[in-house]
Amino acid sequence: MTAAEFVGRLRQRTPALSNTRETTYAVLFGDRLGLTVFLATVVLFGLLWRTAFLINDSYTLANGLYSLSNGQLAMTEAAYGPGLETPGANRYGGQWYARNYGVIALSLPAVFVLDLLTAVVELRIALVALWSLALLALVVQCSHYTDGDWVLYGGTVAVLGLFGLNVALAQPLDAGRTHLYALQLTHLLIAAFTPVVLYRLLSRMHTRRLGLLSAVVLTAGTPLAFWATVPKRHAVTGAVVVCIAYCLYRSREPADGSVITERQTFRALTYALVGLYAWVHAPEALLLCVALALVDIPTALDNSPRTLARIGIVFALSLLPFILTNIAISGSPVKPPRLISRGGSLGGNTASGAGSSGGGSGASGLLTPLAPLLGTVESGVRPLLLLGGELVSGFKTLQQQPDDVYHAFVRSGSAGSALDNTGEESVNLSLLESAPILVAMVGALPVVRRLRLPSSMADRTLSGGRVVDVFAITAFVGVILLYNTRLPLHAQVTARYLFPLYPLGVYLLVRLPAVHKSLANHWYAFLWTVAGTVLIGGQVTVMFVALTVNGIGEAFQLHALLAVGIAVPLGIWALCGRSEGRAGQVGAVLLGAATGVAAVFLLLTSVEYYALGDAHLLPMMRALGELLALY
Amino acid sequence: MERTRAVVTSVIAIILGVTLLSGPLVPSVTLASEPESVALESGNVTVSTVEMPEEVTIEKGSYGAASYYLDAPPVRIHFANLTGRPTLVYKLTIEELGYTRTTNHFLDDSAGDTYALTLASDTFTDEEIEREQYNGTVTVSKRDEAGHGVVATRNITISVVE
Repeated sequence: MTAAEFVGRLRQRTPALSNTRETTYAVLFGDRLGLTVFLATVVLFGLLWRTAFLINDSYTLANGLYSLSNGQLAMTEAAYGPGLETPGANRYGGQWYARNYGVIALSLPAVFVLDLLTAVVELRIALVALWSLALLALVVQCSHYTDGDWVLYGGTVAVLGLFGLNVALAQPLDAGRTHLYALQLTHLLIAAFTPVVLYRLLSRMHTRRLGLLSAVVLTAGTPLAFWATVPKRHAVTGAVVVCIAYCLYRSREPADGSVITERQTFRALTYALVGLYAWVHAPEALLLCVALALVDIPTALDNSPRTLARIGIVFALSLLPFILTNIAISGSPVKPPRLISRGGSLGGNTASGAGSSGGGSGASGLLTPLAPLLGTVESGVRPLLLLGGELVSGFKTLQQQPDDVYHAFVRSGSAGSALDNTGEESVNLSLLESAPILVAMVGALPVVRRLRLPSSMADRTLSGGRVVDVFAITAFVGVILLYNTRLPLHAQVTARYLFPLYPLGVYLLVRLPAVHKSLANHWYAFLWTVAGTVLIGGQVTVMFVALTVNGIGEAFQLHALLAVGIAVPLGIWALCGRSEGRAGQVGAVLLGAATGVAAVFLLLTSVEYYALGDAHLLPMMRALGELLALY
Repeated sequence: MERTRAVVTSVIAIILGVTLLSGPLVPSVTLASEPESVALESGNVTVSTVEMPEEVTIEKGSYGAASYYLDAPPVRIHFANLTGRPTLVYKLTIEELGYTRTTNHFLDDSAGDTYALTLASDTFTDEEIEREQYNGTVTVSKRDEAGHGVVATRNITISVVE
């Protein structure tokens, strides 16, 4: 590069650099609509936030964060829960360790901020104020899309009113549990980017309107809001798969951003996301890595050794936090605190694998110069073999236990016998019952039937959209096979192991021509149906629950039947695969109803079924939960 | 434009100002207060009549739910006198199942002259329910300043509804 070129480039970049705010805005949200999606999602998640432990596994993360914020990697004290031996905690060298260290480390700043707030103000009021400010920001953003200032003035009055109501009803928040709140806040913010990135991806592929409608489908029509404030990996996984899809798309399209000016950077970023995600949950990261490499490398424009080496270096760097944490804990770079969930065959194999790697280090005396290399190759290949075995056994389950597959994916109902916790109520919904909108994916069948293969296969470089489609399908199938042997299982609530299928499924169904044409042409009908189903259907459901239901299991199964009930006509419509005229209107209404039915379930679950001792963050939601006593 | 900016800024200022008021910087103001703890089992309750349920059922879960649900109708209580915060207890015992369930009701002035004393629902698994009928006992007792005492008790048939 000559000096003149350098100056020229610098001059090109100066406007972007000089305006940091604009750049941050563009990098995080893309445009104003992206910011609006983010704020709306944050406000919704804040409404449903309960400051309590939904699931025992979260104790492990809270204790891990507690120890790490005191400068200890090992868990020293059970500040939360019954003790240190909680699900997911692992013992190495006589000490207990947590897992998901990636999110634990990310939550450290939040602990600091919350502790600081606790010192100056009442934590409940502070968090209510933060929520109110997010709502105010949403009002301001929305007012940019309307003529006149009535939205702004009406909205600010509403914000002040809600803030006053919440303060009037406020009870102190236990300031000694900031580690839990910090974890919840981090997960909430990560989860809020899932619809934002999906919006950005689909607004680039299609239109901004379609991107926005997809964000609505994802946020209201899938259990994203339920898991957003639960310190578990699920919300993070969902965000990561969407981010990978977005970067993969950008790596195939001409770069037009202000910060990243080369496509290759986006390609490297996809691998970096996978590497960073390994710090949270290594087995899923490995699956995503395999899926990504299988799709990306054969379809890339440029696979020169230099490019691949650059990607490899970025990937290795992104794995550094994961590797360093593993070495600090277990002494092995590829052995995370817990390789895969207990009960799986992979878990058993890992334990024996650890034993044999111990033997390998003994032999290293003979092959001293090659030992580190061999060790790395061996330890790199073993997880791949384990993953392969798991996927194969997941495939076998499809053939050998069709009943289990049916209960996990279609209708949970009386799957009590399949659960290993006897006496548990029927609160573990199937994938379809949790998100009936996903049934629209059967619309792929008429598309595949009409598909004609290109006459020549020579052109293996696919367009950006096609590459992301193939990646989404590969990851979708991979996640199903990875967890198939273990489902149905207790403590899933909404098939949480399969969580990445929700954003991937929404992406895939929106990509179907019949679906996105119906949505785009009849978006008004779609949005009105969502609103109607939530506001009117929600009240009817509440009455049904109050009159006919005796407990949470029956309530969940009522919602499950409603979901299956809307899934049947939606599935039939999707199979017809038509979007012209009346068929398009019907499709938009059915898609809206499926989204609304899931949203009603989400709202009632957070307010009533899993109120967790009326632990809502917002006092007004607590009061609503106390008012509603449905069984 | 100026006016909208002023409105938004002032709302932000109000929210932040109120938040600052809540903290130890302004010790005289308490915005978030614990609910007042009330003295339970205080006062006095005298029951004039009690209408016990005729039948308690254990029903197979509706909507395809896997469990059986206990469905006990409420006991209707008529008060002759009610002061303070006494407690009424609804208790169901099914000896053949080795099962007891109690629900406490903390009464106050808002209870009125009559009160529906409910028993919280519960679940049983398929394995637990082996017969079509069980014998049980329903007991209503009170706890107030005068002490603990049984108000009424009744033997009852519990039928299983598939």
